[in-house]
Amino acid sequence: MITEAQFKQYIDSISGPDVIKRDFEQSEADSRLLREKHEELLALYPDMYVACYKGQVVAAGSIEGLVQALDEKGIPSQFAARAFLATKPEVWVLQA
Amino acid sequence: MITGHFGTDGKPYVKSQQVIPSLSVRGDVEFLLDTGSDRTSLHPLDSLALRVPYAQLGNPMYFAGIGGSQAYFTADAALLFRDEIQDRLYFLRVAIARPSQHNLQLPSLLGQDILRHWRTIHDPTERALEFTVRRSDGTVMLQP
Repeated sequence: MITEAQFKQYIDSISGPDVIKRDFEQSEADSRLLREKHEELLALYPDMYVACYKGQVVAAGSIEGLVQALDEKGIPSQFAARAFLATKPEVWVLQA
Repeated sequence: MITGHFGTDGKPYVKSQQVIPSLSVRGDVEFLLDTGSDRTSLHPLDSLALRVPYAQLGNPMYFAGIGGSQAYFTADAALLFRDEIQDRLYFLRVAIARPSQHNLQLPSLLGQDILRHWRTIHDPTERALEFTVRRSDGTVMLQP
């Protein structure tokens, strides 16, 4: 397991907790936007993967394609809100 | 108090920031709450976006779950959850699913390794999803 000291060292290496706060708040806002525009996006991008960063929406037919499209726009995929827009959501059950 | 939300599918989700220092991985993950899962797990929509370097992971293990048995790698991670003016910190070994055609649409799952440390209010009728932390491994104070 990671220790608290190792974690703090890592956080300091990325300029401290304010960076985490900034990224988290941006990601929260983008996730909210994806939820609010879900119906509209579903109509535009059925059964596609979408990401939203600072309000900009990117879509692709695969996860790898989405990451590539984000890269091409200079968007950090790890901080973009992400979703798959299923026209027929799968039903999940735990199999024994 | 940590606040979650109900997704467009009506299921309960909570946002976290995930850090895996050994792999230089950091990013935001929206977890589906899974009270029946023993372990917190990352699925491809998140692991690929977070650029998890699969070549650096060891041998996979097989866990039973949604969709049957699937291959997972493990990695030591820190998860942070926003709790008003601070982030709550947990150190755990997360399971990272090997991408396959069966798990590309699965959300990442928050399991009992985190959920057992929270008191949870899950009230879809009132759209309330709130967590009171009973225990965490640490906190990170945030500037206002």
